[in-house]
Amino acid sequence: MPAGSSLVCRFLEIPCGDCDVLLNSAQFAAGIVLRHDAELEGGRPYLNHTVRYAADTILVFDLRARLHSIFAVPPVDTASIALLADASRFTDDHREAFRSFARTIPGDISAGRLCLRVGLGAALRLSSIPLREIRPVPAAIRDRCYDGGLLACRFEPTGRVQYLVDIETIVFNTFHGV
Amino acid sequence: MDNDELLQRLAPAGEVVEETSVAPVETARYLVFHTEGTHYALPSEAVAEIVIDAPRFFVPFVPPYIRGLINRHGEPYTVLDLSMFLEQKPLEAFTYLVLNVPGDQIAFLVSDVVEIPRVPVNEIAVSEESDGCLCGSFTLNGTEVLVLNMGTILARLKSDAGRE
Repeated sequence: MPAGSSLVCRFLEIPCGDCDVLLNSAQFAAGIVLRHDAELEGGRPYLNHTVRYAADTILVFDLRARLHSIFAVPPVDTASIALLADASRFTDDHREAFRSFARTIPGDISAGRLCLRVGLGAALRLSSIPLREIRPVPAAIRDRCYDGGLLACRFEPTGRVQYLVDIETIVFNTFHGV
Repeated sequence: MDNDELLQRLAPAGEVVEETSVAPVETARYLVFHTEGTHYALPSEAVAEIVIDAPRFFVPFVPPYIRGLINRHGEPYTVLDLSMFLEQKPLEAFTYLVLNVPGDQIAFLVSDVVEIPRVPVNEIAVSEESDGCLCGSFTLNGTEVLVLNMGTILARLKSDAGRE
């Protein structure tokens, strides 16, 4: 690789209190506006709504509320933008856990996609960030952070911190009550 | 008059003057700091940098004595609150000791740095404290200073903050 060049990835930046959360854009397929999501009986924390999309009924995971809980930020009500994650990209264990959970819900719930509520459109930003600017979490706390879904961090020139999180880990930890 | 003559005159008759030599006292340099009044010391070579007033960023999933991360030259450092770690009392301060820890990036949160004295090794009382986070103590200007055992602290951190 020529000197000075760097791999660049696309990330969705979600403001979350004093920090930003970075989501790897490879982990979601599209963004949609949530208008008519319905409450789901018998759901789980953060996983208690569905939405109709392209003739499917899709589960909605409230990623914004979960992130606010993780980063100790007061909850907010409004979050109309959601991402669509393709379940075929989940790890085998997660895909199976998702399929099993979808089967427990009355109605025809799609096990092929998961909808992730992320926030208000105006607050979100899609950015290209050189990977060399992203730092692993220090070794002493790395395992705990990885297990919780926090992979790495980046300090912006403005002094703000950004945390790169793994959507799958965050979603499926709630399946296990973490 | 040469030295031998002078010594013979000074010494009372019949007394033999012996030359005495004082063995050099071994000393070690420590960085002394305090957390809300309790004084601690670390070997000075264990500290790479003293940082004052750096912003601290919340980090989730960690024990309560990990107070967040600080940014040192673009690298994240884990901030360990010594007061919380040793005495279960959270410290409100923004002074950090960035440590020299091979393979890791750790900083201690402290109230203030006191001084960096040379301490005679024979004046350090060895501690037999049960959990091993302290390895000795000495007196500096009338104040007891507790010497931290970095190895034990880092091992406990690794055990606490490691995979559950």
